[in-house]
Amino acid sequence: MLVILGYGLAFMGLVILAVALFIWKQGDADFVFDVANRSKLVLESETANQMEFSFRLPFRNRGSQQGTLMDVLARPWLPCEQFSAAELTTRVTAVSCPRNDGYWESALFPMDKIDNDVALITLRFDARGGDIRQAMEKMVDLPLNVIYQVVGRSDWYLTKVMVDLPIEEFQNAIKTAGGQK
Amino acid sequence: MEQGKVELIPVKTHIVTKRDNIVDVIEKYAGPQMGPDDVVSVAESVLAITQGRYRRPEDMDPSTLAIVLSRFVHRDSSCSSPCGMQATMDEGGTLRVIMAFFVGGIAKVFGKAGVFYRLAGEQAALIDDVTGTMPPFDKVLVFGPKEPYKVAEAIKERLGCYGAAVADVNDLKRAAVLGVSQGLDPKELARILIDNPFGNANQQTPIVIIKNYAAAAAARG
Repeated sequence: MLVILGYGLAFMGLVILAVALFIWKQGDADFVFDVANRSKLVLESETANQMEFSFRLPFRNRGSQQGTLMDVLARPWLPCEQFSAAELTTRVTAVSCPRNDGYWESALFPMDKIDNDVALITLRFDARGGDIRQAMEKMVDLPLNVIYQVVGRSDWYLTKVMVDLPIEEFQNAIKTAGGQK
Repeated sequence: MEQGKVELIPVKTHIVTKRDNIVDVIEKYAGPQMGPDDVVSVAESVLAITQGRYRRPEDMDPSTLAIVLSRFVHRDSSCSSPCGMQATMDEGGTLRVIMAFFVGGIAKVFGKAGVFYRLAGEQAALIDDVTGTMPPFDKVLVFGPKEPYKVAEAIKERLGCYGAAVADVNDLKRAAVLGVSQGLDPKELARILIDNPFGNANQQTPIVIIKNYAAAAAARG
């Protein structure tokens, strides 16, 4: 009886091991946002009390399974203790499926592609009473979280990358746009 | 319109939600264009949405079994994600899905595909995973609708048209009619709708009027 039980347990163990190996070999979707290859900030538009900047952040699914980006959002770390001269709102959209409502449309991305897509991230500063140029003179380095929700072969999860936007980049974007006027 | 030929007219609607009644929606948008010879068809996912038959992945807690089984399903299937498999198990029953999984696996070894979907219950083939439907339902799993035959009868009765149907059509040339009002042939309707005139992605046209259906059917004999 014990021998039969032993064989049974050994068989179960082998099945579990085989399934685990299969899952490990199969892999999963693995999205990477390529911060090192992002574009520089560009000043897209300017009014008396508002400036809108944007930059492009390439991303791809480097995993071994296709996966869905269910949501992508940009969350600035800009506390009012540090910068209160303007209010910052952000939008993220995929260049392949552009939207201007701030809604990220879920999309399935094939695996192992060199260039899946590019996220266009827009930063809009609204001066809190006054001139946006004066407000932006007080701008500081901006750490920006790009948070994304993935659905693949495993259960959904949220993860993020950090994009550091130094003050010099804002200044250069404003200067460049000014020079073009 | 050529005598004896049907004409397909996609009908644009607002974004339909679970606050809508599908019969009211069809009456509002398709009613003015409907005649006694016409058949109206509605996309099954939109009917399911009005019935509240969808769930967010965030509200689901897939079991270990769902996580493991989903790994053995083709990547393009809605059952290939843990939530998709869990939804199939919730709808079809866990034991039924396990049985379908093993029988389907054996059938596949012998070169017969699709057995899992036939055995796991009709919902296995009807569930749309995330991205399967237009925003804002691109972030939810949409199940198949309930009582499509009853709904088709209710639509026909309200509109006074020749008939009504609930259809599942996609761009991969796959069409299935899930429910029809009395007297209609689901296979014939599936053939007519095979080119997916619904545009139930961002075109926002989940209703299709099949004009002149009765006359065309009579002409065919």
